[in-house]
Amino acid sequence: MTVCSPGQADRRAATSLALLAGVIMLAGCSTLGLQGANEASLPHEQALKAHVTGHWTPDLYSGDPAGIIVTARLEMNPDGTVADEPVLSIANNGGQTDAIVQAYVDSVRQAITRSQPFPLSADDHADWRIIELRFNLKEDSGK
Amino acid sequence: MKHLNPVSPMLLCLALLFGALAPAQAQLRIDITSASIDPLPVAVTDLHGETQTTRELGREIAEVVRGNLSRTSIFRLINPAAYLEGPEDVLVRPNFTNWRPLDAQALATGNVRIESDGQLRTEFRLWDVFGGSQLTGLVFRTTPENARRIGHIISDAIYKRLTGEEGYFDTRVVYIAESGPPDRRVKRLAIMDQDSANHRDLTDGRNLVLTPRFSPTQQVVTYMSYVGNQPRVYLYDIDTGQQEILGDFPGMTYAPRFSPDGEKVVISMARNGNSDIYVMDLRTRVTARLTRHLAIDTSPSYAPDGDRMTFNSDRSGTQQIYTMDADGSNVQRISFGEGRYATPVWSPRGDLIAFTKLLNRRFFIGVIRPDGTGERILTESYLDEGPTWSPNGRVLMFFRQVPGDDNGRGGSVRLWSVDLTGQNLREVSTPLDASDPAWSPLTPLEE
Repeated sequence: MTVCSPGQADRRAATSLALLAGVIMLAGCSTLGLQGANEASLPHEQALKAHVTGHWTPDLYSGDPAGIIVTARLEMNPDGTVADEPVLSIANNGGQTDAIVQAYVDSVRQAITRSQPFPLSADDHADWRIIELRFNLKEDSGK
Repeated sequence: MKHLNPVSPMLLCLALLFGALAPAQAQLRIDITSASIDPLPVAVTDLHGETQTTRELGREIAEVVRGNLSRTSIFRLINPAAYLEGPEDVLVRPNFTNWRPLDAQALATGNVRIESDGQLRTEFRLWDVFGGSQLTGLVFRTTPENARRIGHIISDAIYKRLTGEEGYFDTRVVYIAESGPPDRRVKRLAIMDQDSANHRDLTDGRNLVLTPRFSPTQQVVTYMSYVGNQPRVYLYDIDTGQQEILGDFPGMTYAPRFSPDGEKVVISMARNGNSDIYVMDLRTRVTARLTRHLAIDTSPSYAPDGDRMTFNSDRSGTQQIYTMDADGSNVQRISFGEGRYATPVWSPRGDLIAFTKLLNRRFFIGVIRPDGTGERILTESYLDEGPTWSPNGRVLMFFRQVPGDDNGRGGSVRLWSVDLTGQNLREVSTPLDASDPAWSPLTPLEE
């Protein structure tokens, strides 16, 4: 049996991994910048957290997901949809394989897409025009 | 372990710039620290074919994929009856708006055709429904008889792309097929695909066979057989059907298992009433003794790096699990719970050791870390025994006997599988009673 990947898919995957490599370094910076960031505490923030959590379905048993942190910076429309492509930064603190990180990042993208529109009031749009979601599974989450 | 590539200085500068600015601009920051444990909804269409023959092959391949994915706890297969597009509609590119209402996060499509030389050409694509993009794609050329295997390879590709880990679908299981009454039990060496298809017997049942174990590198099985009432360890080449005795030892040899490189077999050997662990180099046939103890040392199993192994021994007074270096040094006991522990098997991931536990006349399948911490019980029954790992270390297969009469004899014995989570317990279908399964590695592909 002969097996091959279509060349286009290979090139796309290579590009994707190169981008991953790029944002890894970026993550080191933005993670520092997040030190001291407040955990969601207001009711609408808690509702958004629960909403996104319910749409996030990473594979909890692939490698060590607790070592991967994906931060998504979202520019939001007043109707709760994301205005532009999310800007993602990825930290691979556990030395996970490219394939595991890629699958994890895909799960974050899908969670953001499936969560729209976000359950937020348009009246307060000025308060959430820019949202930063930090996806980092705790070790015991869901297991 | 594979690491990501370093980045260019320009990217680093951009990263520094972004890193400095982004947090300051964010107006709302939320930590998402847990996730839904619901399985990932996926859709798999029949593969498109232009003719009746290729349509049937496309359906057969898709059914293999759907069967594989639906038996995992990771994926939830969306019922094909709900699909709004058929195989021909998704041939070039699906209309994702027809798949989003089904909540399908991934969609597998494909095409099959018979080429002029009789070869089957199969294309497969996996789509991100909400992202509207292709996640991966494969092309195969093979004979139509390999249609089921194509289904397994596609299943592995989907599994790997969506979880990041290797799959376990293009694999086989050897086991002991049992028949006949308890006092005249016939035990044959048998093999089947991991989804119970393509079952066949490898031995005729004239000689009792036990403890088959797959080579991690070849289509070769080692097992124990009583030939002429002499228990010996044999090697069986699945492709050629040839078998050979591993060696003629003065005592009883049993519980064989390959080293991770497939170049050695570690066995238990009973001499003068004492059982110890030995290793044989398959090229030189030189044997070295690894344990020297008056207790019964048996059931050796290598760590995936080949540097250490686990075994069970009653040297502490009860049967417990130990680890040692591959040369027999640095023996450490790792099980300290109640009951007796047996049949330790090191995970292919290296992070866990599966075992059988006996406590209060109940049997358990469990896992423990190699340092002895984190013992976790996955199954419990009247008799659960003999765990074997899927090649990706995510699933365990074992055999379960149900009690028959009042003396516990005559009950049926079947194969079962369970996820590492302890969930997704399910019986593995076999034509006859079945015991002592051994999971193969992924079947190698020809590029």
